[in-house]
Amino acid sequence: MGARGPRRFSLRRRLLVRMATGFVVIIALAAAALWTYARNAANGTYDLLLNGAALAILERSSVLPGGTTVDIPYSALELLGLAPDDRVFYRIFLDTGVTLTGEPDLPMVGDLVPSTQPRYVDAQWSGEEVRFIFLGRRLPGGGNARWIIAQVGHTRLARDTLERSLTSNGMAMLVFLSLVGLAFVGLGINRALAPLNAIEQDLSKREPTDLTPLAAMPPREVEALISAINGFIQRLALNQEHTQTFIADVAHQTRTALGALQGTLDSASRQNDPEALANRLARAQDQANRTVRLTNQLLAHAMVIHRGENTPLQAMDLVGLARAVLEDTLRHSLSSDLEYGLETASLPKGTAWIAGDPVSLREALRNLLDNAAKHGPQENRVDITLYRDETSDPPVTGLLVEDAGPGIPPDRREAALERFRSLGSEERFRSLGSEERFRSLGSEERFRSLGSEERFRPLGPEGGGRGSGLGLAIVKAVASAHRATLTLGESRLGGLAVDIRFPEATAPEGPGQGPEDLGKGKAKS
Amino acid sequence: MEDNDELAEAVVERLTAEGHAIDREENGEVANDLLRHKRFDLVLLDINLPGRNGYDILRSLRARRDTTPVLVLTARSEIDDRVIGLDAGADDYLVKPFDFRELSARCRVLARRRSGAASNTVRFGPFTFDRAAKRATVDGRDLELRAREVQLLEVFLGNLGRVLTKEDLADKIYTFEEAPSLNAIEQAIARLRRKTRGSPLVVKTARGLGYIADIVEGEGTGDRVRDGDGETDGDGRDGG
Repeated sequence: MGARGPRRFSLRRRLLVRMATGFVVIIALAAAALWTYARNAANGTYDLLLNGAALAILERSSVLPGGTTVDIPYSALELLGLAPDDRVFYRIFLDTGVTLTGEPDLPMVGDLVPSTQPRYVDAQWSGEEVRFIFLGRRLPGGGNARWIIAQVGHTRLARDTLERSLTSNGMAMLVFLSLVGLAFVGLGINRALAPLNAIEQDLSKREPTDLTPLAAMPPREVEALISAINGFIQRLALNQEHTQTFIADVAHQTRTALGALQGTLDSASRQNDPEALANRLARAQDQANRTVRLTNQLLAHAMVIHRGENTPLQAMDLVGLARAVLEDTLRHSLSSDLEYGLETASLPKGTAWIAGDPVSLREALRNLLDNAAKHGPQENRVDITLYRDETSDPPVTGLLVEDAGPGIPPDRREAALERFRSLGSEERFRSLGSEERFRSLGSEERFRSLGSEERFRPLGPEGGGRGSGLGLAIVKAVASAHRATLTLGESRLGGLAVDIRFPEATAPEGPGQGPEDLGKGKAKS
Repeated sequence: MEDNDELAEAVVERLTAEGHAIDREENGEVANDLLRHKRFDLVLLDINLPGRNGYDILRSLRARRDTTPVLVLTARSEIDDRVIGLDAGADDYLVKPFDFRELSARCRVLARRRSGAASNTVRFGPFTFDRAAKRATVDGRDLELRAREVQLLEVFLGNLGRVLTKEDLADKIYTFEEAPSLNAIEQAIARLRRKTRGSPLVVKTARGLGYIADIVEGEGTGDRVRDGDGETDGDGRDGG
């Protein structure tokens, strides 16, 4: 688990910060709501007092023949005395504006309509916030009805105290809950990350060679992660296994081949007879050529496997590729009696687009042609057919290489695709005994064929001799890297038929996009 | 041009033994200068040279319109390189490690191609072709080529080692007024082939691909490599 650089984010911090921000917003909204609620509650409580006092005053007012009289009852003032620290102001006036008693210049409301419904107004008075009530009473007076209005004011001390206490109690509770919530989140994160820590422990304590899957029983949420890691470990293990097998194979094969070469040279150096010496030297040269070919094949095999794992496939035309490889082969086989042919008649538009890796495919095709040349008779014929099979589902593009050589019997075909299992490999392994060191690469068949005739047969570009047992393994590796199916069968010419069927790929739009437009002009046949 | 001493010495020894004069240069920069001032019959060029990359040398050689045959030696086995080499103007390539018999065979082929291109009379072993008289002989015997066959022969000699499609050939030997007949070309090639049988000039057909002509090793040079398929030449000599 990588080092925690300064730029790396912490899951815990990020979650906590987000949660805290959320809580702050909630608290702010709740505070606003709480404050409004507290104010309304405080007002409601003390407005009842004001209302009571006003009612008591109005009740005691009466219309006498000499005018209207008001008597401020003691109960009214007592009622207001329930808020002990608050000052009280009052004025009783008629709707004509005449003040009957109290302070005449208390703040007025401009649009006052006399009503038996109380009206509350906040106003500044004598340097303080004062809440006033206006409450009217209709005085009986025949057609000349009158309103008498009581205005009673109260400072806000008691109200503010109640409001503050309601608000702060509520806020304290909210903050407490938020803190508890955040603490739970923190704990939850720790708990949730615990399996990851376990994985970290597991991985960091491992030996580099330990490629067993993680043992952790993952919770559902990280199950995908664990199985991805396990999948990765598995691929790594497989890869390592391949590499180890490959290195072991390479070591074995090259040592054996070089050993054989050494043996032949040693034997040559002890020959006195010039003819025997020449014979041994020729054999050594042959062995050197086989070693070269083997090395090339081993490297090619490693290369195609590596590319199969690492190189993305690109849209390419098999026709161009086949033509380029064939031309190259042709150029160097003029003196042989090999006949080559390319058949593309069944292709729509004469192109065979697939998703492929040109380098690997070239190697595969080259190996097939080499195989045909090496295993077949002198007058061999090799046909490459590119075709499209619409009848299969989905349609496939195929590459068929047929020769007129001896072919491979059906029961040996599967084994022929294995690395170092060319025909006669059993014999070869038996022959690895010390007494037969310099036959090491050959099968019984091959060794027999190393008679004078075979030894002097023309050499291809990469040296003579029979297959290293890698050619078809290379083809197989390339086919599987392309998710293509590889089938060995009997060719129409009586020899081996190698059929590679590629999954369909769409041709790119427009001309000239093929990486393999190397063909020099169109060929028809 | 090769920077590995042992390989270079072995190559020099082999080719000197065959009677060639060899200049060996191991630095790409120096080699490039050398090619500027001196003419060679054949250049063996390693791609990985210190000082200057082999492809650069090849490109600048061709940019000077120098047609000296170049055989590229490369240790890189990915075939992309081969194609690049041929595109850059190489005449052939060999992947290291190579068989020395193969090397000298290829060298001879390249040198012969060049000797054919230079003069008015093309001579490959028993085969001669007089460009002016349009007359081809094998061992002095006139092949009695018809006009079409002569045209084809000229095209092939100008494109040794290259694959030509039937259409390529038709383009080269028919004028605008003539209606090209692929069939006629096939027949002409078949006749040309029959007539040149036994000479080092080989015309090979690849079905679906086209034709390729080149000079193959003929005479017994004491080289076992080619003894295996020496029958062709033997027959030819018998016939001549």
